[in-house]
Amino acid sequence: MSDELDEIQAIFFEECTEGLTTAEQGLSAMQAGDVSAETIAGVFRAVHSIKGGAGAFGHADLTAFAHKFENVLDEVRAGKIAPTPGVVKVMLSSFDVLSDHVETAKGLAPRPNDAAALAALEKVLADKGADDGAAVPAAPAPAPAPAPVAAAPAAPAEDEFGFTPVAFSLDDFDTPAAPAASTASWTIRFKPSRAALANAGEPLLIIRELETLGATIEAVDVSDVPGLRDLDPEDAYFTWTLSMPGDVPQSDINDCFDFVAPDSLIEVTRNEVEAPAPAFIPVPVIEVTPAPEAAAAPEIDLIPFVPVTATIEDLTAQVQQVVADLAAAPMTPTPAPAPTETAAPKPASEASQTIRVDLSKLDLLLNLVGELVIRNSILADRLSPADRQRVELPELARLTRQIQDNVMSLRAQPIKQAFSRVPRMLRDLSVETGKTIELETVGETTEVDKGVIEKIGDPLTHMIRNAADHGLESTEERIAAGKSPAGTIKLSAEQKGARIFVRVQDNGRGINRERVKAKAIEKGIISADAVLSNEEIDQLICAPGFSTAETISNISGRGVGMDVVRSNVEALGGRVEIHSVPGEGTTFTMILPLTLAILDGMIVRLANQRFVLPLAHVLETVQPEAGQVKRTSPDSEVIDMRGEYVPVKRATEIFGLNDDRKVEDSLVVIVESEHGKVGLVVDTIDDRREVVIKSLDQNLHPIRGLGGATILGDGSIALILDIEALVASTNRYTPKGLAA
Amino acid sequence: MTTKTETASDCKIVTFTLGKQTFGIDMGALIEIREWDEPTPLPNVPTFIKGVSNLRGNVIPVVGLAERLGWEPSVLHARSCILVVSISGKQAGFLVDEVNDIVGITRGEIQPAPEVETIESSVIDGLVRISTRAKDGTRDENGTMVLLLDLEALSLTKHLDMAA
Repeated sequence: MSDELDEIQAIFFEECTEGLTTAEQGLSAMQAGDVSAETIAGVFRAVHSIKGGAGAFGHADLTAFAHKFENVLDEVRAGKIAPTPGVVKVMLSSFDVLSDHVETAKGLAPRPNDAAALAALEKVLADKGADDGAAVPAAPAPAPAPAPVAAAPAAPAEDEFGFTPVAFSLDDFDTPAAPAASTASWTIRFKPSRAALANAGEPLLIIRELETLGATIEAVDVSDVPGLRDLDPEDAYFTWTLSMPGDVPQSDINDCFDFVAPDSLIEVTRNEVEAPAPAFIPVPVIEVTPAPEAAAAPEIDLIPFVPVTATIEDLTAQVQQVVADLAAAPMTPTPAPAPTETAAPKPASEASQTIRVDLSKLDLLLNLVGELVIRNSILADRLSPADRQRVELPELARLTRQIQDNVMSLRAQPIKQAFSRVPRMLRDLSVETGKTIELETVGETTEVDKGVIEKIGDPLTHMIRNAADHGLESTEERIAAGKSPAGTIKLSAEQKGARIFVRVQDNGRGINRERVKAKAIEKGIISADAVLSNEEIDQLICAPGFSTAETISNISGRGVGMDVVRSNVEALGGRVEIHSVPGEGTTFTMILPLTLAILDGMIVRLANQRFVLPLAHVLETVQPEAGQVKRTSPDSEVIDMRGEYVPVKRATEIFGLNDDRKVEDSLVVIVESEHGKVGLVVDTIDDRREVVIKSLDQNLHPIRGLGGATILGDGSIALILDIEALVASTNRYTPKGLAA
Repeated sequence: MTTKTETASDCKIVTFTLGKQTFGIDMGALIEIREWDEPTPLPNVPTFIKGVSNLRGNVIPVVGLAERLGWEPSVLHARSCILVVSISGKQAGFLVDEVNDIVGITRGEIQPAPEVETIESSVIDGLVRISTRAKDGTRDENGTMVLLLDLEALSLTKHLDMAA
């Protein structure tokens, strides 16, 4: 049982993560000036969903905080609070606290101190109230967006319960007329859709929930119940009329209907005793009909509850507005700003839906699919040529390939996942250091193996902290140095051949080499008379126990940061490069291997053995004519490429393979490398395909000139060429060049 | 090499031949026995590494065990096969001439290998005498000497570290 609950809870946390991502995207967009109703509603929905789930799982702190946050968002959504930069800032920091609360709920972090954030939210709410007091009366605040959401729950100043006193109105149904009670009350009419039970929308649960809020059932309309012969016991036929004390906030009533089935009829009307008898103003009864495009989604649209405020004119105008918008709703192409959504938790359609899968299961799947591909081709070989022509076999082969491609893509994830926590971190760092930091990200969509993404999180954190703490100067220093007051940290990722380059670049003061050297001598890392190049000095900051920070700050300076970066990256088979220009900034580059990445490769033959040449490096391929390849020394050759002399390397010689093929019978593949253009001589080109990189060091050790191996469709192994290493090596085969 | 004289803790070994010698490895390290299949040659590796082979999606190195141990390279024949073993989490295939048997031995039976003046004397973990099955099914009472291999010492990475 508890296992089941854990599983459901795991799903909830997964949804929280999605929700937080959506909320952050929305808030970032708002920060950037996009305050459309759609954006705000997206953030609201995300926070609301988190609150709902948190409540269900009994995470009281998370629920309480999300609730307060939601209140502010609701007001912003309703146009009651203008999304000024100040307000957005409060929301962003609230978002951070909300993320912390989610972590707490997961049991991963201690309970965050949310007092400051709560106070800030309270203040935003309170300020709004003051504004309203001046603006009054009743009319909805001018909405920032045309969407009627903004016009709907426009409430004047709230009372202590957070609900809005409104003039009462009664529906025009056969419910009892306004009871002569001395206090206000709500009348709720609820008719679940016929399919409610089939959709798990058990009306009893909803009624019980309403009852816990103090509702009492006034009447049950059973007139829809058909004769016994036509009765379907799995359909819902009743209509309930309930009354609810007036001190219950409307939002609480709305919440009860969060998970009601579509097509249900819900009316909530408020009966106010001292209202100036506009008595029986019809409140529009709206059948909740999901817009066609939303029909498939299991979400519920609720009726906007029209608050009747001061005058009948106002009311009528609002009603007309809502009715008109409702009528228009099904025709609106985008479901997002549909006026029918008030408090409905709508799964944010733009956030990707995910499912959690154990990584080892994916690995197993990948291996099994590889086997399947191999068996497939063996089968094809065993069949007679006539049978091979039948349609089934190519179909099977195609399907198998598709499965393989898909499984491969499962493991590769955009590096965005690793980058996503950086903006949050920088906001915190910005507060802690008092520096203004701008973040720029490039290449977030670079696909990296999931395992790599998981492991670069820590190094990335250290690098960002280091850049913010040590790299960037304080605002005053920057202004004094004639730089823009805000420091910039640029985070980028790109794939080059079989390697991933992740860079953290700041435009700060650069590495103070004098100080680094002095410190290293002081710490005994190097001897006092050591002569070091600039690059070697830069590398010292990655040495264990090195820290130049004058005082140990909360952020970095414990002398473990860059050491951790280096050891983590090296454990992944990568390396860290540091490039620094005094006064202009420092760039840290993590160069990581794609331990299991997908490579677009060219299958070539060298001395009749198949190799994979990473396509990313290939510029062009030529069949040299006699005399086009010229020898410049006994060991070196060049190819004349339209007047440009490009050095030629023979991989067969580098690898010590026997090859007496004449260059005229071969192909020269011109590749781009860090060392410029180089022509590689290959026998032939067989194919072009995506291959899975299998590292050689998993069971052996890295071999110079090879980036790994891959298993081809027939089960044989092809080695993947490491262009950079090949180009850097000399043409002459050196038996001692191994395992370098 | 010292002999552990624990009593009657049975362990199973897989015996195989290289040339005229009989060797044994701990059965627990054995993953599978495969037919010889020409591996993909690797450049820039010692000659005893024959190349890499595909073991159900894993790329594993194939080692000419005879050469690795300093004997004459194995000549391929119909009964040549590859013992796939796991050495500290890494997998490798060893080319052997013939797989003989699986025998149970007790630790107490293991005798120390003589100290040899070679670079790697530790490759042989110990010696043990086993009775072998003769062709007619009877037991050969004289038995055969089995050289027990220390797989850890054969680790490919370790060897290269030493060479470097």
